[in-house]
Amino acid sequence: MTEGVGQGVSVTAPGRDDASLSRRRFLAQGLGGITVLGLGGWAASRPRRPRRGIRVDVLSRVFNGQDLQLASFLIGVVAPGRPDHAALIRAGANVAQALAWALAPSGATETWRLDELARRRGPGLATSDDREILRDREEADRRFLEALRVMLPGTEFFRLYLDGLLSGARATLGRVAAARLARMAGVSVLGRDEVDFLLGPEGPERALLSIRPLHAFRRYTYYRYLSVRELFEATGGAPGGVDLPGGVDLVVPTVAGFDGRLGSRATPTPPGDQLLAMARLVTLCGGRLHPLVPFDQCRQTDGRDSLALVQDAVERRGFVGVTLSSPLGQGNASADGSLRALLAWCAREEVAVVAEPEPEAWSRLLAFHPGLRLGVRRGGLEGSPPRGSGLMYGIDWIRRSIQGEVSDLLRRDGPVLGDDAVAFLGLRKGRRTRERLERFYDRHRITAPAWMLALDEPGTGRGIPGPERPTV
Amino acid sequence: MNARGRGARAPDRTDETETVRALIDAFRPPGCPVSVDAATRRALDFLAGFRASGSPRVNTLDTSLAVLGLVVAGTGGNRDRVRRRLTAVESSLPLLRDLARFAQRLATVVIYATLDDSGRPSAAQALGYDIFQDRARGGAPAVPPEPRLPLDVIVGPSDPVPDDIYDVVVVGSGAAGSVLAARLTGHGRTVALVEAGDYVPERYDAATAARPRPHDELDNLLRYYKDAGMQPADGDSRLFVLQGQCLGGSSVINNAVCFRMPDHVRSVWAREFGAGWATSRRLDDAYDRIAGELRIAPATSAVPDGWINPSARFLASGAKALGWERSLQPCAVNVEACLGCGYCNLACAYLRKRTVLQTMLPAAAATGRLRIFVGRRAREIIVRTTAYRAEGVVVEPTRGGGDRRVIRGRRVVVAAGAVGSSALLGRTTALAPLALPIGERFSFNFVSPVHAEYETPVRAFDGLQMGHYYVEDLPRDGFVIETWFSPPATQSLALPGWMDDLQANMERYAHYACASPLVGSTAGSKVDTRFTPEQIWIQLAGEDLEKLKRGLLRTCELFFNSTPAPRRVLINALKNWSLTPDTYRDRITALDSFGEIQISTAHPQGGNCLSADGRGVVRPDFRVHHTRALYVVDASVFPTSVAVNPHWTVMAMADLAAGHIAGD
Repeated sequence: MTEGVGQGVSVTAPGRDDASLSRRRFLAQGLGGITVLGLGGWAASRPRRPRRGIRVDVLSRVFNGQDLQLASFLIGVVAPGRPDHAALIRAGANVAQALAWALAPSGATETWRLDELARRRGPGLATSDDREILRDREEADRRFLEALRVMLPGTEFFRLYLDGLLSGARATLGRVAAARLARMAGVSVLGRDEVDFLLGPEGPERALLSIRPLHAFRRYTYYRYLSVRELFEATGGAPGGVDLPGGVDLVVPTVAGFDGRLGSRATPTPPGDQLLAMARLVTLCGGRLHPLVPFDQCRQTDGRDSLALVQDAVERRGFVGVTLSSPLGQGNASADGSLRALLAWCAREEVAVVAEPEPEAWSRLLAFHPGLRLGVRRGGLEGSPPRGSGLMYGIDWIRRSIQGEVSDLLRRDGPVLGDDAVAFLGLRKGRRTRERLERFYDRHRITAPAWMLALDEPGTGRGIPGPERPTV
Repeated sequence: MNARGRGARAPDRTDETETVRALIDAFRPPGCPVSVDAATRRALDFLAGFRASGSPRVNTLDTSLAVLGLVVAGTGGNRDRVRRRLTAVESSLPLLRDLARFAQRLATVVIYATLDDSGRPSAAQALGYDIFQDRARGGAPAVPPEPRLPLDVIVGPSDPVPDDIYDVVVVGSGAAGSVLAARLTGHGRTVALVEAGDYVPERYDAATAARPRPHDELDNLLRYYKDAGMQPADGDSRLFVLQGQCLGGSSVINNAVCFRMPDHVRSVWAREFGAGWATSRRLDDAYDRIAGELRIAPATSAVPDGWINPSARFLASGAKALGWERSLQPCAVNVEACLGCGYCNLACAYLRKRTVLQTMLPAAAATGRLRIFVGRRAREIIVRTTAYRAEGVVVEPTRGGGDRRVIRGRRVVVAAGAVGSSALLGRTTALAPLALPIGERFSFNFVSPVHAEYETPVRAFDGLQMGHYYVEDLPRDGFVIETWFSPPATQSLALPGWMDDLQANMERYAHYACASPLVGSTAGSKVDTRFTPEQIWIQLAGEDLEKLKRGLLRTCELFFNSTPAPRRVLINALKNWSLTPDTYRDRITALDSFGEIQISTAHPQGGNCLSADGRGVVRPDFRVHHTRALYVVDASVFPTSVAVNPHWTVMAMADLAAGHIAGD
């Protein structure tokens, strides 16, 4: 699952044209029509130097339905944002979760699959032959459709779903299709042809609903790597991706963070396993994917200390920053101490921190950690952060799910947010993050990626301030 | 993902109650004397107990129940609708089929293990089963006087950890750990023994109300088994890996059968892995010492009144008819004055099984040099990175809720079993630079029980659970056939069929004889210690399937040639499981993959392969390669499966290893 794909293209470039590339232009330049898999590659190991500035996507999310309490997420986060479909989303929440938890690969399973792909295809997954990967996608689709047949009928969600379809079916699809939909309401198991009909390219879900719940649910059941691959296809377009107008050179996604606020149950894939799967993906993406690692000062993760997990991810596994959900320890002294330890370490090691918009609380904490690279998501914040606060606005997370295909999301308008990601993350030569990445590439025999080569060319990019003066 | 103030509602335990009730109702046989309410309460108690156990596998259970919650959603709890939906799921994808089968297993086990007001499993009794105390000889069986562990030896999970430095810290109190404790204290060493499971002293006292009920299958699963018997293998979600987790480990819950390592396996270990001791007289001497302490003897003499699993009678007559009677032998067992209650796997509540609790541990405690830390899980080994010298172990309460503590020692021995030892070494980050193949070469013995149904009741539950074995040429055939029978809840897991078919098969419970081929797997599986909890990836080879098929064929052959002849024979396949003399060959031969037949294991081995060269994690003297003062001694060091019950071999090996460790 990727969320917020391509919504924020953070640009550092010599020409302001690229720097101010709008979302509409981005799509207009040929990326709106996405070929799902198959043609180009992703994360080619042979770098091509971009002929323009570096584009860094800092708004994507990569996860599948095993990584979070999906039902609570849909009810508590997604449904309120879509009041017109809230009842349907709420009713579908448990369906989506059950399907995802039953069908989606766990972090461990995905790591094994990626190990296997790497063994057979070598690092970088350079893409002369995609048949094997296509089979993963086809198998995921097959399983999803088969599961729908037996798990949808009888649910409140399916009743509402059919109601939604039936209201416009006769006028749009004709009498025969409407009757076919009406018959589905009474069955205990759907036929394969009926599921194919619902989800087909000309099917009623596409034709009649402004949201596409079953398409969305399907995406939650995918391997994470399939979504990343699709993300690169969508935002890069060709092997290496960087030569095409609008291509994204580096994706810095968040992964599903700690979801304790969503409910008390553990997710099938614990955070530590999710990070391992992502770490494997990082090595296979040849320097084009470097995620942020979540930290929760209020929880131990899988019996491991949260800070140790973060340090391991950043120092050894190619993660380039940390996401925080709150600057507060919620009154817990141990949590406060844990947070202070993280921030001190991040300041010392120049690790970027991306956090929730609670600027006052952050400003107070920053007084104790001068030099910390801290970006808060913009949220409702306007303008610039208070002078001298040390805060940086502009890294944002857009909480919208893809309803079906990545292209759906790309077709939407959305704010172009984010600025100076290269500086913020510390990707320029001589910065600590950059040094960690270089060591990481050496260890994994990854050729320096195109964005890195381009950054090192004289005259590329603007003068980027260091951590002493965060960019606004 | 911040849902604050947005009315997020997670699925709660109310949903779970409804799910469990619907499942119980769906799988409960018509006319079952256990009510849906009673079984639901029992199931919820069991789930609560499991969650409180601190098992890291709770996640898996929660996920399964959440998905099953959707399956029964929208049915209004209507039994027929739930059954239709479950059947649709069962006939769907293998993944969903396994989930439906898991629901059936859980519900069926609970139904047959639910006790009525008199403490009896009434659904099981309706099948012709009676608990031991209701049998003629079970009136008031005496609990033999046993040497008890002095309480001052035991340090509970909430007790302070003394700031001592021990000569040796041993992690795991099972077959290997307890022998090591006894031998090392005997050599004058002080020993800290760390056990993740509990000590259950009340089991020794027949008079106390807190004494576990001998026949209470669910309660005993929670008390004595790792993950309450639900440790899944992730390469095959239908396979659970059974291991003990209590003071005494698997030696408390095994079937009490004892085998020496077969000669061909000993040769391979010595020749290919440099374990010269495997073919030496020293190992035989160690076997003999253990035999003396556990009083290992043939079942026919260890069970004075002949209360041995009656299944052997039918195997014997079949073997005789075929002229192979010399291949059927009584097992060597570590029981004494056995009552034949059939509760070996439930920790032998009448204390006739000679376990480490009655032998090695009291002997070690008597030296005054043993301290036992129970209810604490070892998180990581403290290893000094400069010289890779082990200096202690970080422990934490197994059930959570406490701080981590350090138990320091001059040497550390890991003896936590094939899965646990690999996991502990894998979690020890200081060892990572050594790039040891931790978790690799994992193997196991697996079984797939065969039931033969006879016209008149066999009452195979009434006797020692496992009394005889059949073997012709182990290196050639690759299997041993063992008799086996359990109380109804556990036995239901070994019977084939979905819904009505399983219920019909369970109704004939008292009419079955049962035996199973046991196959030692190839060593292609793995304990993957990168994850939390560790993942067991099962990778079986074509030759494993061929051995199982040969074993199934021979077992069927023996039963079909028995006198009287059985009405039919059942194998635990997904379909075509009811066999006749005319069909069994074709149907077994047609088995094409392990996806078509249920297998189970209680004998995990390997993961920390012993080898003189770089293929291994430990050297032939049990020290971890390139380290100092760090050893592994348990079934995890087996470079190949031993293809028979490994219990005695583990103990003998620990006896040998103690000499290395004490003198190192």
